[in-house]
This record gives sequence, structure tokens and C-alpha cells, in this order.
Amino acid sequence: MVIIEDEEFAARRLENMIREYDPTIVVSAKLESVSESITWFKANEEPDLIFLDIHLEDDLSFAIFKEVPICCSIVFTTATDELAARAFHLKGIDYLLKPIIQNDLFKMLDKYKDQPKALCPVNPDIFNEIINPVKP
Amino acid sequence: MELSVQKYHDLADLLPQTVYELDMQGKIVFMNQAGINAFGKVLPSQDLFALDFIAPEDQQRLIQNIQASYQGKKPDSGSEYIALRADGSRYPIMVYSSPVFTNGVQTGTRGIIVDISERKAIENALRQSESKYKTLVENSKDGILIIREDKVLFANKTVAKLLDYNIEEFYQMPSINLLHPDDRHKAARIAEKRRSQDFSTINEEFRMVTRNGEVKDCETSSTLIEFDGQWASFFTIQDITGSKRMQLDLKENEEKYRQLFAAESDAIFMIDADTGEILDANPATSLIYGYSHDELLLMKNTDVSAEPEKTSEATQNHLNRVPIRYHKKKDGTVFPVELSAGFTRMGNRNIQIVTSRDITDRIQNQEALSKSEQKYRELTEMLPQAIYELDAQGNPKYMNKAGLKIFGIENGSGDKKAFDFFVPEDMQRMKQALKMEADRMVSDEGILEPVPSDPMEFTAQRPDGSRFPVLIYGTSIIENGEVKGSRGMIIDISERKAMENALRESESKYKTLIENSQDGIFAIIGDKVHFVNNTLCRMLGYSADELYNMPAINMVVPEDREKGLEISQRRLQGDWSTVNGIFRFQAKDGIIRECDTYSSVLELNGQIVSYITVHDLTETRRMQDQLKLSEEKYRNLIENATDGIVIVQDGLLKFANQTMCDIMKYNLEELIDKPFLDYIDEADHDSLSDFQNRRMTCEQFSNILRSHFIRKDGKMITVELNARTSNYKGRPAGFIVIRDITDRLNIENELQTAKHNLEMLNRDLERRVIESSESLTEARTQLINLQKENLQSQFDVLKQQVNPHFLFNSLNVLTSLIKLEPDLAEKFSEHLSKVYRYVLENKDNELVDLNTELVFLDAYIFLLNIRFVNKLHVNINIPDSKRSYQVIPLAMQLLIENAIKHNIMSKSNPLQIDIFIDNKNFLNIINNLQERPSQIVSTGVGLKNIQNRYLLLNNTEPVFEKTKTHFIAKVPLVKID
Repeated sequence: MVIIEDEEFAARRLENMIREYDPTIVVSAKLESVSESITWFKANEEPDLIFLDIHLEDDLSFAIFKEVPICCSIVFTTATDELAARAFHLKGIDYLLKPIIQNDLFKMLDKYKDQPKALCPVNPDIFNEIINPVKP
Repeated sequence: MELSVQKYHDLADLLPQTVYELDMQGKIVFMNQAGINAFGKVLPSQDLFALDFIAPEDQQRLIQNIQASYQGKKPDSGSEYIALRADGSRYPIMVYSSPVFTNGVQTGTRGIIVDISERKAIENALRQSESKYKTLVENSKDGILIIREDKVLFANKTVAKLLDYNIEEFYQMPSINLLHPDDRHKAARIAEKRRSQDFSTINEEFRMVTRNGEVKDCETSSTLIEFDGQWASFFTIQDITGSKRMQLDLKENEEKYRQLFAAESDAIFMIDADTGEILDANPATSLIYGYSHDELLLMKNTDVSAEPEKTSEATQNHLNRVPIRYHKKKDGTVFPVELSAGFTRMGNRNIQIVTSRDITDRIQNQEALSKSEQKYRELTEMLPQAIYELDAQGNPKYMNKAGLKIFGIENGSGDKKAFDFFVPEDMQRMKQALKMEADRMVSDEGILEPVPSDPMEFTAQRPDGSRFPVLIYGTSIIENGEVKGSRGMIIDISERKAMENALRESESKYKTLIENSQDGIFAIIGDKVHFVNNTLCRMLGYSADELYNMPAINMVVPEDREKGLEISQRRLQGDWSTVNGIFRFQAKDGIIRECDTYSSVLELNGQIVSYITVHDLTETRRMQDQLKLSEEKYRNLIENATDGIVIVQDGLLKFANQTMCDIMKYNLEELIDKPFLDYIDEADHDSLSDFQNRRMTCEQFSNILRSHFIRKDGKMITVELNARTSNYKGRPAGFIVIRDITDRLNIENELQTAKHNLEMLNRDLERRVIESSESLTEARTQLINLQKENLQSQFDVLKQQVNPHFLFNSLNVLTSLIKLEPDLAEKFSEHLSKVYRYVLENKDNELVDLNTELVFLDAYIFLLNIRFVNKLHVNINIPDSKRSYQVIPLAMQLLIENAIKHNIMSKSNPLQIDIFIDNKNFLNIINNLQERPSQIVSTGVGLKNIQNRYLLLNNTEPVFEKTKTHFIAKVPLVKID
């Protein structure tokens, strides 16, 4: 599992909560920026699941997909991006609102426990709409 | 009895033949005088046995015959033996014997011996003679037939051979059949004569007919002979077919020569060289000149000449030859003659023999020839090809205009040799060609004849150095049996060469194409490989040489050979249809390649050639597998897409993915091949049909539009269609991605409603303002207040919008801290409380003390520093003296928040914010610029808000400035009096 989160404490808390859920889960990395994440994904094998904050210290996290193909499951996290959260909801993309409520996190982890890896990488274009929302 | 025996013996002695009697032991008991004479033995003083008289080789036979007679066998009609005389000489005898009986018991034999020497001699002579004649007759050069009453009684080999029959066949056919029908009456006439005992020899020519109907001219001679005791006609037959032709030829020749002699028309004079008197003349002279022989003898040579002076001069000068001289006939006609003269002496006279030939015709011919030559020369000049004539040394004698033009020497060629018009490297070959031309003369009956040589190619060169290829047809010029030069035609073949090159290029191109074809190609003649291209060689790992002439069938694996043989069998039976088939080819290294083959037949140079294209399926299979994988991938993609995807062709749904089915609540079968419009709300039909029609005309365009679909359950859903034209199964079709935007629309509608409400509120306020202004003209201040209220409410909304974000972010941090850093969490809570209390207290104030604001800012920055550990540096440098100034509340907080929102901030590149007061009493909030590449939402509302709030104060406006490196915000400080 990988946590991508630019707020140090938030990342640490999430990690603790995951351990609490299942101590055997290995958090292979905690990353803070898009550039750091790209470097990591290029060098390491994909994890089973990524918790991905939208707003990272250098860019929106969607930028990662443009650089590295990522096939594994992703749960987005956000505290403030209400519109993005709604868009995720519409597209069937999983997300958690911060501060993360333990129950929500555990349900999410339950869901991904047995889910096989997706075959194809995440298409970065599907986030265009969120970044530049179509004005109605 | 005794007497009787004596009488018998006496009688026997008188007989010229030998009479004898033998007892049962073969002992001679009696022999007459003739016998004693004949054998020369002394009797009866000696005991002699019959065997003593017979040659040893016949003795055995004699014993057998005697014993036979003792056993009661009938006496034979005579047996031949060779007898032996006392002196040892031999002679042939004939023995006639019969048994002797005494009292009914055989007591011996008796008989007569006849000397048959003479008869034998005659017989031998006869046999020899017969054999001789037979040989003569059989081998006679003449055919011989003996015929009686239309029947052949005898025919020899010669006649059989002549007429191509077996001898036996003659005996079974009417002899008349051997004759040509037109000649049969002649044979009948001869037969008539023979019947009346005419013995005369009759010679007659007959046309005889062979078995094959071929007619032979035959000369026959016949007579009457006695044959087997009766009269018969005896014919000797000679084939004169050959000799008759010769005779005819001879006759013709004689005729020819006679006519030639008759046509010999030169006049010949014998003239006294000193006086010119005509001494004699031949008959032709009379014919030519019209004088009789006698008249001529009285004349001089000058009398027949029209140019007497020249004639006598020529005579005196002993001219041997006068090519032309005009002579005069008796009737005065002047005509040209050619004279040749020989001089001799006769007795004491000088004699001149002059042959005069009338050359009137020749002169006319020459004129005609000269005209004809002129005509040909003119023609030659007009020919587009170069026509040339060279002398024996190779110097140009003539060239027509076309030639001069081709060689670029219209202005004359100087004294160049023919070789100078060609490139130097061709000179040697050219000389050889000229020599060959001369050598090709055929000497036929001693006359040389030019034979046109085969055309040869050379490279010509113009004086200006340009070169061009030519073809030369040359022939030697023969005059009087000598080679006088050469003439011929030169054809500029630049164009042909160019074409040849083009053709060669094309050939090479096709060759390259074949050689580089992706498929292997080979040709079979008979059952052997006749051609292979590189591709096949590569495919099978053989060289072309190895494959050439290999039985084609050996290229495929043994299991497939029968199939291959079957095809070649069909080819042999004339089946030229193209045949496809899969064959496994075996490469040299043993690897088996499965190939799709395509064989066709054509006839090339009279040979049946099978052409086979070999397509290696190994690669195709691999590609198919890849394609399958790729197909699977895309199918997965499409089927698992979150959007519905359909293909519409001819207005029908040709494809729909699972998502589409889910959206529409139909299963796939219910959708496929149904009209697309059936699923669309009627209001949208017109526009969609229009798009569909445009797609079917191959128009390439994509469009995104909104439409309404009717689900199976009847519910109408709003969808967004993203369509473009593409190719489906070879024809244009619409590829449409369908997104159910019902949910989105709902949100949109909510927002729309909210916006609408705000607008309504605004409009209401405006209306009220207008009403107020109308009713209370003097209440201007009220109006301003109302405007202020309006603005105030707007930024209140805004403040509330900002605050929840901050709250959630802070709560998030706090939640994290609680367990991780409980002490820090406590402090964080305290500061958060401070911040919120400040916001709640001051949000309605227009202005606050800078000092108060800075205390709040400290707490706010504390929160930020915990949230963004080491990523943010805020440096506040404000002297105490300035802290009594006032600012609008939350302005600095808003600017810091903006800086955080728009810039990258990390531990290595922290965001630096400096806050200080410049000399113009502006509060400066400056941050280094490291802009984020993208933003979620950037409304620009924050800065506008600050600006508006200062406007409300009627104060100096703030200044916002973005440089390359920094964003600078200058907020005016307000001094309260």
C-alpha cells in the first residue's frame, strides 16, 4: 500500500489507521509530491492500493497518471474539494473525505481486500473534466 | 529245269544291264556278263558278296534293304547306290530286286542293276542350268512376266520390286490390273496377236501401276513361248521412268542451246587491216546490217561506219576495243555498236577480226538506268535514315541528307574517314565488320554476289562530341567481281535504346518486386523448380542454385507431397485454374513452415509453367495471436468502460457494450440490429437522423451533444453523446460514446436553481433600491447604505465559503494529531479556537487594529506550520509604531491562503511569505512565485473581495502585482484619527 499525502500528520494518521485495520498490511511508501511519486512508481512495483490526496505540494495528483501508467486500485482523499468528490462519485471512483472517518476507511479496505488488480492503467484524461470543469 | 536256268543265264548275258542273283547270305550266285564287265570282278571262281560291289557308305543301307526283302517286303521300285568297281572307281547305280522262291521257300533275291551315271550327269547339268537361269531371271535388271489369258504364270523379283508386290500376289490377280487404264487397250491388242500364234517380238511402252497407285513408265518387249506345254506371253519389262525424264531434259537442253545459237546475234567481220576490205562476215552480219553476204564481201569496213574517219583510225591504231561507235545499216539507219577487235596475220596479210554488237538496247537501258538511278537517289535523299556509300578504303563517297543531319555534318565532313564518325573504341570492330561484309560474298558459279550482313550496333559521334547509338546494315558494293566499297543504311536507335533501357529498368523493377516480395515465389516446369525468389530461399534456407531443378515436391514435407502431386496431375490434364492450398514446407534446417500457397499456370515460350506464391503463415499466425490479444484487451476496455459505447450503421445499432445495456436496462439481443432512433426521445430524432445521414456519406466529424434516451422501463434519461465517424466492416459508421448524465444534470440543476435564487434575490434588492430611490429622492444616504448592505451580504457569503475549507483542513490536521502528538493537538486546538473566535468576532467589522490582526495571524500561521511542516515560512516584520494602524480583517489571512493555493510548497522549496510595511504605508504581503501547473478551481474572488472592501471604505485601493519571481500584494493601512 502507498500513501500519497502532502500533510505529514494526515499521512501518519492514515498509516496508523491502516495498521489498526490489519497490522500485516505494509505501507511501502509515503509520498508527498507528484514528482516524488513519479520517481517512486518508476522505480518500484505497483502496490495493491494507493491512497491519493488530490492536492499535493507541487501539483494535482492526477498529473502522476500522465507520466506513469498505474493499474492498481486508487482511493482518492480530499478535505475540501467538494466538486471533485462529486465528480468521483459520478464516475464510480472511490474517495474518502478528510478527516477520514475510521469506519469509512475500514469499509473501503474491506472492499479492496479481495479485489483483483485492474488490467489497464488509469487514463489521465478522465480527470480533465475535474481540473477544468465544464461550465453548465 | 537245269536247262531253263541255263537259258535264263544266256539270256541274261545278252542284256546290257547287270543281272544278278544272291543267296540268302548275300553271296552272289549269278551275275551276267554285263555285270562282270561293269564291276570288273572275276566270277564265279571267287566267292563274292553283294556288299563287295557297293561303296562303304551305302553298305549299311544295302543290308537293310536285303533283309527287308527276305522278310517278305514287296520289291521296291529301285534303290540308288554308289557302286564300287574292282579298280576302286565309283559310279551310281539303280537296283531293282525281287525275292527268289524255290519250292515255296525263299532261297535268295535276284534283280537288275542299271548304271545311272549318265542320267545323273544330265540331271546335274540340268539342275545347274536351271539354277543358272533361275538366278539370271531372278536377278535380271529387267522385270519378267509370263502371262496367259490375263493370268500371271511367272514373275521375277525385279518386277515384284518394281511394282511393289509379293510374287505370290501376282499369281492371284488379273494381270491387266498392273497396267494404267489408258494403256490396257494396247495389252488387249498384243493378246489378240498372241492368240493367233503371232510369235513376233513386240516392243511397247506401258504405264504400269504399283500397289500404291504410282505410275511407272515401262518399256516392254514380249514374245510367245511354250510354258508348261502351252503357249504363253513372255514379257521383259524395263523401268524407264528415269531415263525418259533424262531424254526429255536432253530434248529441252538441245532446244535451249539451239535457240541460244539462233539468238547469237553479234556480227563478225574479217577485215583486211591494211585496206579495210571486208573479207568475210557471218550470217548475223547480214541480219544486222541488212546487206547480203555477197554484198558485204564487196564493201570496206568504213562503208558500214557512220564515223568512217574514226573507223579507219581505229583500224590503223589496232584498237582492241571501241566501247561505242555509230554504224550504218543498208537502209541508212545509224545505230550504236560496241566493237572488239583482234589482229592476226594470214599469209602475208594483216587480218582484223571485228565483233560488232548492236548496243541500241543497251544504250537505251543505260539511259533508263540512269533515270532510275536518279529516281532512287532522290528517294534515298528523302529517306529519314542515313544512307551511305564508302569506297574500298573506307572513305565516305556519299551520304544522304538525313545522314548528314544525323551526324551533324550538314556543312561538310572534310576529308574524314568513315571511322571518324564513330567513337574510337568501335573502330576495330567496324573494320572487322567491313572485312566480314566483303568476306560474305558468295561465289556462285564464279560470280560474286553481295550478301547483306547482319545489322551491327555502333556508337556514333558527332563533330560536337555528342554520342548516339546506331544500327548499321551494310553491304559490299561489287563491280566486276571486285569489292569496290560498301553501302548501307544507318539507323539512329537512341530512342529504341532508351526504350530498351526503360524496358530493362521495368524488368529489373519487376524482378526486384518479385525478389523482394513478402511472399515466396517459385515456378515449376515439368516437375522441377525453374525459378525461386530470394524470399523463398530465405524462408527455406536454401540457395537459389540448390533449389533450381530440384523436384518441386521435395520442398514440402512427405505427408503433403501427395496433395502436391495431385495438383501437378491436374496441371498435366490441362486444368489451368488457380489453386489455393496450405502446404508445410520443410526448410533446409528441418524447420517446418506452414504456408498458404496460390498456384497459377501460364504458358511461357511454349512451356507450361506453374507459378506458386508461398505465404508463410508462421508470421501470420503470430500476428493473429497478437491481434487476438489486442482484440481481447480492447474488448475488455470497451466492455468495462464506464460509458456506453455503440456503433451505428445505416441507422441500426451494430454494436453495444455492456455498459450501454446497463444504462438502457436492455440486454444485448434487444439492442443489436434495432434502429438506434427507437431508443431515443422523438424530440431528438430529427437532429440525430441528420447526423447519421452525414456519417453514412463518410463525412468525418465528431460532435458532442445531449440527447434523451428511453430506457426499457420507460424512464427517460439524459445522455451526452460523443460521436465520430469511423469505419466499421469497411463502411462508414458512427462510433458513439454515451454517458448517462442524469445525475450530473441533477447537480447542475441544483446549482442552476441556487444561482437563479441568488439572481432573484439580487433582482429583488435592485427593485427595492429603485423603488426607494423613486419614493425617497432625498434619502440618498439610505440608498448608499442599502448598496453597502448588498455588498456586505455578498462578502459575508464569501467569507462563509472560505471558512468551511479552512475548518475541514484544520480538523483533518487535528484528527491526525490527536493520537500522534496529543500535546501538539492540544495547542493546535487552542490556536484553532483563537482563530475561529477572531473570525467570528471580526467578520462583521469593516476595520480592525493591525496589532489584533497580527495576533490572529500568529495563531493562523501556527496552524499552517503544523499542517505544512517546514514547507512554509512566514516572516512578519512590522514595527510596533505601526501596529496602531488599521486594516480590513482577514485580508492578510486571505492573501496567505491564496499563496498556499497557487504555489508549490515543499521542504526543499518552501513557500516564503514576507509581511512588512513599506514607506508608503502599504502593508506588503509578498511571496516567491513557484506556481502550480494546474488548479482545481481558481475564481479570483479573494482579491476582488479585498478590493471591494477597500472601495466600501472610500479608501485607497490595494495593489496586486505579479512579477516573474514574486507575487506582491499591497494593502493600504488606514489611519484612525
